[in-house]
Amino acid sequence: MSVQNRGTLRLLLRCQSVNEVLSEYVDGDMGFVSRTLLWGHLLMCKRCRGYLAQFRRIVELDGGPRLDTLPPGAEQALRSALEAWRDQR
Amino acid sequence: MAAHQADLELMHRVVARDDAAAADLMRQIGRDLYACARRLAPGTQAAEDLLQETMLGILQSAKRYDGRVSVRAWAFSILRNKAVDALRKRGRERVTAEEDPEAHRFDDAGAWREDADFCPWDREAELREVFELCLKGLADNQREVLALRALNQVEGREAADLLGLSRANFRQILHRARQAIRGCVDGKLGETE
Repeated sequence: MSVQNRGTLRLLLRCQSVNEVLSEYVDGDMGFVSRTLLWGHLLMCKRCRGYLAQFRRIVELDGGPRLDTLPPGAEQALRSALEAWRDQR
Repeated sequence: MAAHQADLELMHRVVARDDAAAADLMRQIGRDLYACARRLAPGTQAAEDLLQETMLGILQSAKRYDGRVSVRAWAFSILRNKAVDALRKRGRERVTAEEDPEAHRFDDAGAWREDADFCPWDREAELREVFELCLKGLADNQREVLALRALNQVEGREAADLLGLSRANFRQILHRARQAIRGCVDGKLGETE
């Protein structure tokens, strides 16, 4: 195991260090070694599992809901912008 | 050839005062711009004003678009600048990426304190409402990062560039914002139980 991986292993044994890398993990930006170490920690740590479940929910909520249609006020704002642009000819 | 040739051609038509091209552009980006404006502005009316001002700015400065980034990313940079101008007028609030909102929950060895408890949230009906409320309580730079991150069409590097941040700093502010919202949501759902 490389020096860097030993450092990662030591860090991922601490709940606070796990907490610091959760966005990286949830966004799929974590490398294989770190991800495996994180899974190991999560298996052993109920609090980190509970925290991760809540954290994931926040990330899901942040991605939606998408707007299917524009509300009338926003439609009007776009129309007004278009009209103002036309008037500048 | 520019990296975003189709976008460049569309904007050339806008420069040539082609109404259909302007309408096409609005259809392509209007909805996402408004979604982002809602996150950046303090209320619905302010979001609509921001959208109108941004769209007019985009149409007026179409000749400056050079196709090096997507028209969507370019449009968001204009939205962001307009939003920052508005925020500056009312005082822009920033937090640094170093401020860990969860630090108080850990002991000196980096383990959770005894009172840390994270139960699943089972009140789905209230969750969205509480989330939106907590979102409004974030610092302006945190809301900017979340707003851009939520828009899948803007790539991570572009989003960081738009805000003048390094990729690492962007990620760190994003993480702190998510931590802060989680804490806020958990607190508010706990209050009403």
